[in-house]
Amino acid sequence: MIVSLLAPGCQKQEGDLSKQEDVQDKATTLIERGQNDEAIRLMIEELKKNPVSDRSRQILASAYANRAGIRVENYYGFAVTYNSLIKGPEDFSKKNSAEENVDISEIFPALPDQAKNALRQLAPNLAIIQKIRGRLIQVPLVNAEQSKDLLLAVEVLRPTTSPGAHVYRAILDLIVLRSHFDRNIQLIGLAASEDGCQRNLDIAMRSLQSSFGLLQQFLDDLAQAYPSSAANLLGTQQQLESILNEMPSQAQKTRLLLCHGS
Amino acid sequence: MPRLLNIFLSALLFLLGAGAQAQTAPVNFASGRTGLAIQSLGAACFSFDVSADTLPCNPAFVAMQQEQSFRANIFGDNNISHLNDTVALVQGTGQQSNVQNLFSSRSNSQFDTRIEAAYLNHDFGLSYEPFGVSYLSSFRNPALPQITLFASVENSVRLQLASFASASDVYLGVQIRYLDRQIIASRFFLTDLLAEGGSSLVKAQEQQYYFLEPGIVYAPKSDFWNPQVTFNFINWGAHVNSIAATDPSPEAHLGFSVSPEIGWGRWGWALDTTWSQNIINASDALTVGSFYQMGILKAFGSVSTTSSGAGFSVLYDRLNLGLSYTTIAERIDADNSVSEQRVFFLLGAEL
Repeated sequence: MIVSLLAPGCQKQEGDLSKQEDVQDKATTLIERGQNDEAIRLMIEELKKNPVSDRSRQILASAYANRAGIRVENYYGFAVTYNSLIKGPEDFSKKNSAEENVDISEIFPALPDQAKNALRQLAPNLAIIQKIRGRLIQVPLVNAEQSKDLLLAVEVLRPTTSPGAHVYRAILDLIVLRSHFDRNIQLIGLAASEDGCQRNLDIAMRSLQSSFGLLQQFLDDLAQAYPSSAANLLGTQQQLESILNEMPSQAQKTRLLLCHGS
Repeated sequence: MPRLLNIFLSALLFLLGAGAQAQTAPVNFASGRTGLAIQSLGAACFSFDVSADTLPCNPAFVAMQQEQSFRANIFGDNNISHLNDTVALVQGTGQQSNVQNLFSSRSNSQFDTRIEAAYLNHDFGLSYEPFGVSYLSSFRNPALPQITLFASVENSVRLQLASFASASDVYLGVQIRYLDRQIIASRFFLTDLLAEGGSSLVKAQEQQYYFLEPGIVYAPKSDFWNPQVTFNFINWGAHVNSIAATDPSPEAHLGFSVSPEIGWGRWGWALDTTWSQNIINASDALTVGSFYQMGILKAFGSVSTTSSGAGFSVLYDRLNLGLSYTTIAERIDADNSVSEQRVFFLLGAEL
């Protein structure tokens, strides 16, 4: 039990804003006013002085996200029911049922049957993509410019250690993923419907691989944010790993069927 | 005399400290003081006694009481829907849904409610508040919501002792106040709350305060103006378990008031000057208050750079009803304040 007089001198010492907090508050005000570039400049300078501050990193990341027009506030309901962040990846372990359920015709309705049959080689990947897209209906699609800012935000948060920072990074990962996966679908559809099949399919597969890398990063962030679910998430990561390992052979089979008709 | 006054004021400023505090609770929240008079009159309530609440703000006014009385009040405001969620959160029985209810509007929000009973005569006043709840939340940065949260469930006992020195027209009083509360004082990103273990950010702490708050009123006899010079020193005392963000800062109030009888009642004006480390700009130290009393009706209001309010109370038979509308800007850090319009109500009985 601590009993002390309410001595103002001590209060002053305890309560004084540190210089770092001053800068953080100022940057937050700039973000609220939409002066994102100014906030980014301020926080980059601050991080040069105090590179280990998770709080500064989160504010800098939020300035990039705000510049991209992404406000976690708008996805409050989605973010609060964070089970949706965890449950999605957990379901990936049910690979077989997901694979069976994926409807190629629904994803690529305009493609000829031959192309649809060829794309069945990618069913495990497409199943995951569809599952995530289905869960991220509330998440906005972002263009390349926005995606660039969001990836900068994700990168800024990489060294952070606090669980909250990992939740934020996971949310940003998901927003980028949603658009990545939409682009993957478009690229695969393009490969199957236009000239330059092989080249387009290679681009699509590289993009798909990069998206799956981001998905693994998302799972890693979740594991950091929810240590008690880390074992489950690790299982899901291993599942993804094996899907990624199978991807080159699936791509090869798809290429043969789709581009060479054999 | 002016030199002495300067020395006194300089010493007082030194004693009270100066400068801003980071993430400090709003003044009334930290001190646990609220009520119809405080919300409507602001700091001017230390210069007036409008008898809107159970006990006067300045304990020296107790010695001016003509009759003994027993009062019981329920006091609250328009955000009373937060009551259950706040209590659940502070008492540690809250669920995710309580947090969601409180934060779903994502707007700055304040809330106060109290139940209090008191006995008052011209020697002393004793009040007991078995239940009081205060809540304040502010949201910043929509890109990554940063939440400042203060929530408290408290009970308190106040004893006011007063005496009158007739030879010098001076009324002396002291308030001994005990405040026991469970309090949450936290600032975090929404994502911190969503992470595993995030509920620790809204974990309440126990605090007990013991305050000694002296007051003086100099009221020279006057036929018309009824001038008064008042002084009150508040929030001075000791505590068990310090939370820097919610420890109330000592404040000194020096006021001057007049309250002449006019044709249809009594009309009072007061100017209060506050010394506190929470005062950043000199202009924030000044509060102008006024009241008008006619029969059973009392109307009162105040203006300062940080708040303004207007209210009335009616004592009909044994029933006391009051309503007040205030605009309050509560500072939550050096650059930002939470501004909100609030309507307070008071339902009371007086015997």
